[in-house]
Amino acid sequence: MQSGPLSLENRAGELQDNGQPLLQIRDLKVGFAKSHGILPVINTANLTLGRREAIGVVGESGSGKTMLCRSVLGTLDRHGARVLGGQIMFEAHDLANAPESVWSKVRGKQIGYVPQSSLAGLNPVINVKTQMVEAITAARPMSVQDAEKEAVELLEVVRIPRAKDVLREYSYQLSGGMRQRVMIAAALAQKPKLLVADEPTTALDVTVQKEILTLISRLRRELGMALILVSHDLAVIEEVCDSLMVMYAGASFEAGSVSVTVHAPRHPYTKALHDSRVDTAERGKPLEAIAGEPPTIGSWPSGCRFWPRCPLGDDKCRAGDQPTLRHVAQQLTACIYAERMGDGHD
Amino acid sequence: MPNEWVTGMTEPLLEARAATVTYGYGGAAFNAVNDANVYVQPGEAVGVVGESGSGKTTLARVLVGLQPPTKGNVLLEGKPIFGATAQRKFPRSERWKVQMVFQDPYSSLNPRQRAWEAVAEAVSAWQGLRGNQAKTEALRLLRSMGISPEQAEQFPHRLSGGQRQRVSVARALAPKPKILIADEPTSSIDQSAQAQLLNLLSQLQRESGLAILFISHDLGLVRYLTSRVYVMKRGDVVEQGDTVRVFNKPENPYTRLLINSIPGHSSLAETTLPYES
Repeated sequence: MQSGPLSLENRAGELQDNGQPLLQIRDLKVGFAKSHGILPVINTANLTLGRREAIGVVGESGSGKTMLCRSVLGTLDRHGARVLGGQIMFEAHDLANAPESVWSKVRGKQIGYVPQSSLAGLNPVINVKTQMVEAITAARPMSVQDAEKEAVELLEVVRIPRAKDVLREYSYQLSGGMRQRVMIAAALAQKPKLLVADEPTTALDVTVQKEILTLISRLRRELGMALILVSHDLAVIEEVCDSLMVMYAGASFEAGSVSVTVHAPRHPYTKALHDSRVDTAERGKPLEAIAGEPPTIGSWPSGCRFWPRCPLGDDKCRAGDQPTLRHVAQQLTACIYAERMGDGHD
Repeated sequence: MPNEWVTGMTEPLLEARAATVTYGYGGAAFNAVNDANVYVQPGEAVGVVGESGSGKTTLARVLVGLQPPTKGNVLLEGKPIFGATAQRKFPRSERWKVQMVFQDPYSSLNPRQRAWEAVAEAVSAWQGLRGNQAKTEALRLLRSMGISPEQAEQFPHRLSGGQRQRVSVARALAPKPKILIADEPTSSIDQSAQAQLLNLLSQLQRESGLAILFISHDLGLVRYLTSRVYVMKRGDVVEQGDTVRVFNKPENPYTRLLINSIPGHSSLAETTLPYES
């Protein structure tokens, strides 16, 4: 491996952490409270994230990946949902169902957030400066002058040119990429230990996406932050993340390092997701589409939720509950037939 | 550079010749599409790639006849449908040949029409079928797009994004068109639904001889599906040619930038951010 002072420092930092994960989500269950009862949206999710580690969460719409972000940010109740079970261990504190008094010390301070839509994330009638100052002074009271100075520094950290001019502008005057940079700068204001980015580049052009991904991965390394990057795009996660968690119908299906999970998966859904990619498909060959449709929230099938679409699905798969994650080779997988899957398909 | 439509053996099915679309007036005027020469041969799969603001959607609207070019011509099977030499602006008798699939399957279907009704309406309008005959034909078209008769009875909100987009394609196929213009057909649907839709579209193109013009910001999709591609930037076609050639040996710096921006094409660590020396 690399030598040099920087890498030594990193190693020392890791030893200091005693190998304790920064974030550990165990058997998380989340649901919406409806008049006729509880509508489950996550059942069950598991995720382990070390310090400075970047994990990607991939899943299709309805898989629960955005609700997972909201669980980690403590904003479920704003959307009419709540934690029904399980743990969200962050630095040895269980945040599942933590009161707002606890969340207000964590959210935005130790856990930063970059939303999908930077247009919705910024207030259109307040200029960038006011919003940046608010983000900075939220946890650290200081004079407006000092906060403004820091705002300029933060905008420079996210490589915004003419930072002083941009401070006076409003969100509608900025391009999508610039808005997303401002959102990242605001998220960095309290030097969070963990950054949660929910589809941060979905609405952006491919060249701007590249800039934002480059920025996020560079900042993560420079500031020693851990990262949860939610995306429906495996290619994006492959570029930025160390590890990957695959979600389907509200459950964790597979987790492991990015390269093994993508190229030697131990869950048929992960394999199917990779095989249906158009960006790696061979021209002239039909795409390997996954048959059928993902189940809608609240009407998950019995047993493994993927069995109706799964090439390995049989009577054993449809019995009982959604299988929980277990170790197979280097992977965590929820498939009861994971051993049947070979060592790679590429 | 020789004009390819002059040297080509067959006559293009659909063609924009020196088409310019100007928005705004006076000092605020700008060309959303600037002097574009774009053609599609019968049965061909062609891509138009570009970022937001490149003019690709405006070009699609011009080609499908939703808006006339400010300057230049649009020719369908060699006959001008817009422009100075057109006798009549895109007569109804010609319109069935060019059909469009829109980006957003949520807003392009009538929420108060069942899936089969949306298709049957187009069947009645273009094939002159009525009542049960129109419904039977609608169900046949829907089935060819993988929509079951049970699903065809549903209103759009009961269908997934991928299913809705396949209903939209079935409706576009009702007049038995010669070319389909698909404007970002998969950008609002999930990946597994995307693969289903793209397989159906490329099967149509290969087996039924339907020409398809894919308008997309997704370079991976265009690389996989098309045989020829146009790259647009701020209204200009900056590069065009054989898709494999353009992706392997891009000539224009902007094309190179686009291709290097595809996730996985060049490492993030080696990327220089703009505003950095």
